[in-house]
Amino acid sequence: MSNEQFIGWIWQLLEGASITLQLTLICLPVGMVLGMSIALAKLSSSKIMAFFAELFTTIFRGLPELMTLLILYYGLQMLLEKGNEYGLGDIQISSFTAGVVALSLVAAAYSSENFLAALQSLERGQIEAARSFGMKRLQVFFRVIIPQVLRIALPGLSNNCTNILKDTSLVSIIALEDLMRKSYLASGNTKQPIIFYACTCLIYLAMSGVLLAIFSKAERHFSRGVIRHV
Amino acid sequence: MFELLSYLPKLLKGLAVTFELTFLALVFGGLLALLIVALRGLHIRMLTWTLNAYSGFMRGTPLIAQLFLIYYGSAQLQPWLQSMGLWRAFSDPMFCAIFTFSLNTGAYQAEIFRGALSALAQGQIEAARSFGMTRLQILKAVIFPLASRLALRPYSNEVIMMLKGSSVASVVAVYDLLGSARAIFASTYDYSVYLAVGVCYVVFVEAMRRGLKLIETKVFNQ
Repeated sequence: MSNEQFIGWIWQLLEGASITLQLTLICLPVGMVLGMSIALAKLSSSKIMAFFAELFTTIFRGLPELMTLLILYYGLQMLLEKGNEYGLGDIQISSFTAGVVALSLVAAAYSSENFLAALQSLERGQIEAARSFGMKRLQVFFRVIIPQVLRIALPGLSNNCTNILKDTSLVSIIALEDLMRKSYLASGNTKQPIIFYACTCLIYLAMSGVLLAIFSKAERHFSRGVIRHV
Repeated sequence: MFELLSYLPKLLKGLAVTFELTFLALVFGGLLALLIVALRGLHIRMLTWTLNAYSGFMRGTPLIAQLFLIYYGSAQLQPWLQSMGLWRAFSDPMFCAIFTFSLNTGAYQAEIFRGALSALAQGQIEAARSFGMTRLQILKAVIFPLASRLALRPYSNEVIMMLKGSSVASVVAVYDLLGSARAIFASTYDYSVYLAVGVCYVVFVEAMRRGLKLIETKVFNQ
């Protein structure tokens, strides 16, 4: 393998890494918001809502992530083909979309558990106090509940978020050209798997390192003014 | 429905492989984790640094990347592995999967053990020692019962993660539960096989979660 070839493939890996990053950056916020809603649904007084929220978490925490991805990829494809038969037009599902949907659902299932535990640890008195100050429900949610929930949930969330980053590598199985797929192509083409998979691992390490650093900064931000009992 | 029945033998075989992968990885990983914890206890700076790097690598990179590195990487090392007499093992995807998963869960389990040990109150051990208990007695009567109680919850999570993670082996042509489902789907395009296997995974994971929770409440009164 010439030097130029090597550098060319490394560029390919970095291109793949940008797809990995895009996937992660879309799935994490979507998953968080969905996860928060599911946590609230679990606490809702409506039995049906709580049941479906529970079912959702059981399914998407129970399925292996690769399985979720395959079920959604082929499932959505078949649904769209059915739609085409009824004249919905020719829509194709890209592997990127399937990846985003699958991993957002997984992120939601896991983060809902973090949010649920955090929500349950809040004292009711605080919410009642805020309400009696005349704060509206939404105000209470964003100014009293969210800052505290984030503080409590962040350590668990940071763990789950790095897991999602790592899980994005599974989209390579449905032929999305992410970092993992590019390194598969690179090592197949050059017959030098060790060097390319090692580089790929280093890139993943760097990305999860940055993610963890962001989370620890956020943890510090949200625990300002809290006395730590060491 | 009848099609599903005709796949049943293959799927059951796959299920057995999934359990085999999970069980062996957990056992070998557990032994590795004990070794890591013991080596950490020696407080040799270079060694601790190496173990930290190992643990960071295993926990910061995707399992599938680790598996590819070992499975495809070993092909590149074929002449060397052959001269060591290890090639037969490394050319078998099942061996590579068990090997990779053990290395992976070993790092996670070591972290769990370390967390539980460091959470033990030092005073307990000092008290035991001042009673004149020997090291082995302390290990058996104080450290193990307390630490296993602390480690149970993260450990049960790790068991579940490994059961789910073992499905990654299907990408290197190991016919575990997901691997058999993929093979059947590839030849029949019968989507229901994915749904059936999906239900299967969810049921096993949920049963395991509840079983471990039961142990937590019944045995440890937590």
